[in-house]
Amino acid sequence: MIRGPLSVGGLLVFGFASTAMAWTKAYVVEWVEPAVYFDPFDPEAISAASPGRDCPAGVTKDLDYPKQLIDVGHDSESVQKLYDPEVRNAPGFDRAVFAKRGRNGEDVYREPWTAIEYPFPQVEGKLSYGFDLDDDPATGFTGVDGTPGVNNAYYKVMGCIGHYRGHPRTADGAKYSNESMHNGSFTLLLVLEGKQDPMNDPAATLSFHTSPDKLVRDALGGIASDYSFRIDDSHPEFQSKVPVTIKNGVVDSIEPQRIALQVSGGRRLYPARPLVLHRGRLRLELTEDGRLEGLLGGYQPWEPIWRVRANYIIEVVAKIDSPSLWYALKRNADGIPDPETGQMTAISSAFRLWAVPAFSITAVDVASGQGAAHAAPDGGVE
Amino acid sequence: MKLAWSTATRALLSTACLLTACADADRVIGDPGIASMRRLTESEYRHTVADIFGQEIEIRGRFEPDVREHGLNALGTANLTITPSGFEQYYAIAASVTSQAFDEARAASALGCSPPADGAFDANCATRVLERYGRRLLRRPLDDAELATYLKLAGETVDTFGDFAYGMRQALAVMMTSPDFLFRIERAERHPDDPRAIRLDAYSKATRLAFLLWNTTPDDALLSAAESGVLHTEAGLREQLERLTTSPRLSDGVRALFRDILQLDQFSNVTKDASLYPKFSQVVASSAQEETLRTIVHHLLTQDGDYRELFTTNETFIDRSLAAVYRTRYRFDEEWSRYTFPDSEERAGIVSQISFLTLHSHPGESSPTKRGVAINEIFRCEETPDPPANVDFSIIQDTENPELTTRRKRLLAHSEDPSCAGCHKKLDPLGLPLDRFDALGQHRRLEGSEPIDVSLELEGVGYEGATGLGSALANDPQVSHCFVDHVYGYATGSWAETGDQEMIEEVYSSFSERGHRLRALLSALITHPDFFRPNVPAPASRGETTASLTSNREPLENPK
Repeated sequence: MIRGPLSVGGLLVFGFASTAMAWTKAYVVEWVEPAVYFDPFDPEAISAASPGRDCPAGVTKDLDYPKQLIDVGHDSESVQKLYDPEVRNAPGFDRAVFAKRGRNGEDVYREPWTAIEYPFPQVEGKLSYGFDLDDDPATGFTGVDGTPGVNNAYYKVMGCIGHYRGHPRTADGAKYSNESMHNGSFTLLLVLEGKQDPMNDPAATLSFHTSPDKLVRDALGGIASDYSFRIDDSHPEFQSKVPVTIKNGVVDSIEPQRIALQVSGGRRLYPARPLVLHRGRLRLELTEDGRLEGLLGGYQPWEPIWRVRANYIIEVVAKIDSPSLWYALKRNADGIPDPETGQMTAISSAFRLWAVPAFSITAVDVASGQGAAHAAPDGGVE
Repeated sequence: MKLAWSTATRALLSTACLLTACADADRVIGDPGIASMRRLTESEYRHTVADIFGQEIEIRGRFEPDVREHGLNALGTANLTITPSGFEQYYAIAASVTSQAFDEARAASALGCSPPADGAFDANCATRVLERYGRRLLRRPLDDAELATYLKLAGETVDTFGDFAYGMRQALAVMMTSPDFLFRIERAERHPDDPRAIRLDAYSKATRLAFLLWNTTPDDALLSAAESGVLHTEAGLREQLERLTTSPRLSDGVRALFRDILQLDQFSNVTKDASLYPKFSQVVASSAQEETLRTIVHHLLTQDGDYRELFTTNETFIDRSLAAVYRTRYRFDEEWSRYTFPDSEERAGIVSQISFLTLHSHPGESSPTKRGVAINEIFRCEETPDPPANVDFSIIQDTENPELTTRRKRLLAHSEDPSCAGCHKKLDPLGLPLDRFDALGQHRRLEGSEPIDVSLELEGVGYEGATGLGSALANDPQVSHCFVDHVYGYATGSWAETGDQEMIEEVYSSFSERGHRLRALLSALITHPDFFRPNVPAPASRGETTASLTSNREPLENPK
């Protein structure tokens, strides 16, 4: 099956056609990030540290490791020695000492509950991107578009960490992970399929895949459209298929369902791991210039969110007190209760993505070995 | 460093001597003399080094720029010299090549003989090395004087540095800066059966054949055929022709030929407005050239197809980057996949491929005029005069004119200017049919909101779009004639003059009768009695004048 910018009934055409034949369109994601609503008091502000309605208490600060270590009983003199350049730069100096912030010297990157919880600024604004995941308009934020009951507790916890705060496509964390994607650490491929009109189809599907083929940059530094990408079937944890409706080019999930995809991979701060959204939903738009962009939402397990941030480097780079993040995530988790303890295992979240037209190539296509595409009527190829 | 300057100086003096009328040069250009000198192109240089020293040798450096004449760099090479800075570059490249070829890992096999372990100079071994490499580098055996010169240089270097391989690489680096290497020097000699006639010597013939057909220096078999004199015989020539044209390496020669004809070297100057053509990159530019050359080699050699079908075929090859530009999928089954353009793409032949369409466009928009000029020059061998100095482009540039809302309308209005009409009425019908392809060769149907009109009339015959243009070019005898002219010019380094027309016509007839197959054309050209005729006046014998000679046409020995 050939999946391209638009193939209809096995024939690939460009442009939007009104037809009642099976069709397929593919996209490759050129940017994906947590859907943070940055709401500074100064509309012109671009600094992630700018105070705003979302974070009136400001953003997270550099960790005070000496204080934390002393608070749990380390003696002041030995702690101060950690900051002696001769000690710190000496061969064999082990930064793991900064993890010993448990009340009894435990490693807080393994046992965060042993740490003291310190103040951790969280979003206090009223607006957010996302979906009404619990179908209760009384819970959560008001959507940026006015929708009541938008659940995005992940944003509430993470939105005042300066590393993740900012206007769309500007936050440092998003830049870091997307640059990693642009440089080839992973590729996220979307395949939209239906049986009626690609702009209006009540029974279409949107599939998430990974590809072994790297993104290609264009001359403007963006991601070039219309490149071909093989579907990697060897990683089912990064794949999912969502029934959707399409109305006037707006793609909506039909029912809440599990969505699995890859949104990070390969680099030290954000290693490859699947993003799983339980009771997931999506709303994406087919733009006039052929792109696909919009929101995904759902409840993602909160423990993995903390685990990738349980290290000294990200604490320093992103200014996150890792154990305090653990406490905040646990406290704000709002979905998928553990059947035994009742503790919520997931946290409502939203992500936004932008994708450009691409061609998806299945293993069958590659194995066919026909090489040449064959001319077909109506401007298509088989 | 001191030695490097020393050897460079020696080479410079050697070159200067050979290029001027010093005693040694007298020997070179003496009776009957040099028929022609053509500076090696970068491509010829690279292939030569790869053949002699190995594919793994890297060539690092900047080459002197080529000059195009009558549409061919091959013709410009006959009128090129080497600048002092260019000479330094050639020396640096040569030194780099020989230092790689005779490095510690390769020296033993590169030498092919075993010099004394103490680093002393071994004249026998050095002679064998210099004769073996010299024969391939200079495309003929070294004469005694040359051998003595290079031996002396090698010996002094070995004595100074106590390193035999180092001495060899210095001597060969100097050899690679001699005009006999950097220039393809064709020499004439008296015909043994007719002292009034001259002919190219056998090594010059071998060189012409090797560079035409394989784009490289003659191999051992060809040099042996020259050495034995069998290349002067019709049977010997045909044997080599058969060997060379049935070899896979013929594709190297054909690629170089078409790279020159299609002016693909101009891609180094191509830029595109990134905001309008973000897909353009050096990768795309490189792939686009490869697409066209693969199409040509596949059609003309693999398929043994009709040359004229290069203007009508919808078969091509694409890689991942070109598939994105053509907006089709790339199957990943191999690096280059065969691809058939669907009819809806309206593509026909190499003029509708990305390479031609991109090369002959402006950075920000397509140009029917530039495309028309290119078609007229490249495929019809008609040069276009420069526009008048006072030409008024305002109509073309005024994209806000409510009456002239398309390129076509503006161009046709511009061509009403009497000072422009002569050229535009000839060129625009060649370029406008391609206007459904933008400056990157991407297909389009609309200009703004208006459909792009690609219907034209040329010499009373109407045609439409790239497919119509392709058919028109394929059916135009001037296009096939032009190709014969280009192959002749590329092979000989000289543009066909009036005196060559009889040969050109005979070659064209053979090409035409044999279905416009490239191998037929090459065979007809190379076996034509005049193909190896030196382009110099025949030498005057004692008591005669040049003007009194009746013919310098070379009779083939053992004619059948």
